[in-house]
Amino acid sequence: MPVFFGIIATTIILSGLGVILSKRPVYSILSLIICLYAMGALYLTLHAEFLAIVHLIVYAGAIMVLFLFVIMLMNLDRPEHLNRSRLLQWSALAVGISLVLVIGSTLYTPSGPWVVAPMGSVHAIGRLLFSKFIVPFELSAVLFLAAIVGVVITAKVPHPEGDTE
Amino acid sequence: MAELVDALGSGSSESNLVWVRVPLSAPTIIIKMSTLYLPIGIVFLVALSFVLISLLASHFLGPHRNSLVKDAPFECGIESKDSARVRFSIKYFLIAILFVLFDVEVVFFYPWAVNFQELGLRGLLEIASFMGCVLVGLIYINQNKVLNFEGRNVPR
Amino acid sequence: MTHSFFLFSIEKLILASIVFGITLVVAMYSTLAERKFAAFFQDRLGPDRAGPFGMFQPLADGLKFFFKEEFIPAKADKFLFILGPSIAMVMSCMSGAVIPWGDRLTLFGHSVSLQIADINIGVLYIFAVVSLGVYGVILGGWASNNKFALLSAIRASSQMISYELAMGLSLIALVMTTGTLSLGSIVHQQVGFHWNVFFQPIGFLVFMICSFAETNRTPFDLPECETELVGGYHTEYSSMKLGFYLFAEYINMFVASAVMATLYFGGYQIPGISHLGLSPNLVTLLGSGFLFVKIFGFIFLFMWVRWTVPRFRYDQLMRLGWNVLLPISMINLIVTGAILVLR
Repeated sequence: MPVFFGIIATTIILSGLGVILSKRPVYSILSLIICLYAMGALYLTLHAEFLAIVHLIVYAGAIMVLFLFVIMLMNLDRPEHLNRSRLLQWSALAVGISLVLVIGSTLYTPSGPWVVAPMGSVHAIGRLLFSKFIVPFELSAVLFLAAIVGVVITAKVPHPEGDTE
Repeated sequence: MAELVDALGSGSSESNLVWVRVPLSAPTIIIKMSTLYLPIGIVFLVALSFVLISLLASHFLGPHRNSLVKDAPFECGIESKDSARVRFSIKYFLIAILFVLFDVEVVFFYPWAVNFQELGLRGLLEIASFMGCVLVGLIYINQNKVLNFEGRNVPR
Repeated sequence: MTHSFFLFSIEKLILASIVFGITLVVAMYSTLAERKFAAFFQDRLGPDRAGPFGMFQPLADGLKFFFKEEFIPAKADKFLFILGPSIAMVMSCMSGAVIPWGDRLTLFGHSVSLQIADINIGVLYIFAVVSLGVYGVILGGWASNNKFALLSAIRASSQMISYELAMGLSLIALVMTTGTLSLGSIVHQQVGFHWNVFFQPIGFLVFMICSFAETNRTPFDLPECETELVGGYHTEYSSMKLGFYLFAEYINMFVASAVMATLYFGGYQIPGISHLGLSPNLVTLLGSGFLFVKIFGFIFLFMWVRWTVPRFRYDQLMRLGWNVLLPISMINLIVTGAILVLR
C-alpha cells in the first residue's frame, strides 16, 4: 500500500531534517528517535520483522538512552558548546553527498527493487545466523568483549601510587 | 480480498522458508504486514488521543496562578542555588554503555532460542562459547569494580 | 481501500478502546486497592469517605487531577516537560496490544480474536516497549530543571536499563522451550496444566523480580525515594501530568501482571474446561475471567511486597541486577538447553 510508504517516508525525511536543523541536542535526539521508529515501520513493510524490532530495541531503546546520558552528563545542551568550524561543515557536506551517491547508485540497479520475502522472520534469521554465518557471529562476541574492556579502561582514572582500596 | 485478509492475518509465515523474489509492489505482503501491525498503530492512536484530551482538559479546567517564588525549582524550601544541569557520576554513563553492549548480545540470543529444538547440541555449544565471552566481560567488569556504588566515585 | 479492510480496522479500534478502558479502570481501582491493603497491613481503615468502602475514591482522585493547577516551573523546558509524562502514559498502554486477553469470540457469526495483534515477535515487542518506557522518566526528570528530579531520573533510567538485561535473558530460556515468540502460540501451548512456570521456575523468578524493578515498585522504588529525593523525577509535576506518571506506574503493574500470567501461568487457559462441554463463547469469557483472576493475584503480590519489604540501597540494587540476576539467568539458559538437548 503506497499510502503507508508515503507516510513513513515523509516521517523519516522530516525527522531526519529535524535531527540536523534543531538548535538543541536533546531535540535532535528526539527527532532521531522518531526517525528510527519510522525506519522500523519501513522494515515491517519489507517483511523484516526481526530487523524492525531489533532496530527499535537496540537503536531507539539503548543507544539513544546512551546519547541522552552523554548530553546530560556533559551538560551539552547549549548551542555554544557545539563545534561549528568551517572545515567540519564542508567535510560533513562532502561526506553527505558521497553517501547520497552510494545509496542512489544501489537504488538504480537494473533488476529493480526486490525484497526477499520470508527471510525477515526470527526463525529464518536464526537458521542463517547459526549455520552460514556462525563464524562472524562468534567473532562478534570477541568484538563485544573488546568493547567492554575498552569502555572500562577509558573510564578509568589513573590513581596515585600507594592508594589501595 | 476478504479471504485474503483473513487467510494472511491469522497464519504465520515461518513454516514456508523459500527464497522467493517478490516485487515491492506485490499487494499481498503489504496487506499481511498491515493486518498484523496496524492494530498496534491503532492502540497507539487510542492512547495518544486519551493523553492529548486529558492534557487539554486539565489545562483549561485547572487554575493558573504563577509567581516568581512559585516558579522556582522546589528544593524543600531552601533557596535554590546554581543551575540544575549538574554533571553526574561517570558510573551511570558506564552503565548505559555496558547496557548497549549486553543488550545487543541478549537480542542475538533470540534467533537461536527460537530455533533451539532444530539446532540442538551444536547450537547449544555455539551459544555457550558466545556466552563464555559475555561472562568473561561480566567478570572483568566486576574485577574493575565498575558497578560498585559504595565508596569512591570513579572506577579504578 | 476495500470494505473488509475498513471493517477490520473498525473491529480492532473497538477492541483497542475496550482494552484501554479496562486498563484505565483496573489502574484506577488498583490505587484504591493499594490504599486499602496498606491500611489492612498497618491496621488502619483506609479511605472510606467517598461512597461505600471508599468505592468512589479513585473517581474523586481522577477528577481532582483535572481541576488541579497546571504548573510548569519557569526554568523548565516546556515541551519536554509535557512530553515526558505523555510518553510514560502512552508507552505503558502499548504492551497491552499483544497480550491475548482471551480466546476467540463468535459475535453475529463473525469470529473475533480477543488479542489485538498476534505478531510473530510478541515477546520481543514487549521487550522493546519496556526499553522505550525509560524515555518518559528521563525526559521528565531532566526537563524539570530540578536537581532532585535529575538525580532521580538518572537513577531510575540506570535501574531500568540494568534490569532489562536480566529480563530479556530470563525470557530466552522460556523461548527455548516454546520455540515461538508469538504470545498467542505460547498461551495455546500451555493447555491443561502445562504452565511454563513448572518448566522455568528460576526464569520466572528472575522475570518477576525484574518486573518489580521495571515498574519501579518497592523494593525497587529508589527513583521515588522520598527520604532522599523529595518526590523523585516527578517532584515538579502537578495536575494531569503528575497523574500520568502515577497512572503509568499502575498500568505498568497491571500489564506486567498480565505478561507474567500469560507467559508463565497459562494465560486464559482453564485446565480441564474442554471436558465440560460448554459453548465456545462461554469458555472464552470464563477464560478471560480466569486470566483476570491471575492478574489480580499478581497485583496483590505487588502490593503485599510493597508494604512488607523495605527499600534497597543503590549499590545493593546494582549488585543484584548485574552480579546476581544476570549470571543466574545465563546459567538458567545453559542448564535449560543442556536438559532439553540431553533428554
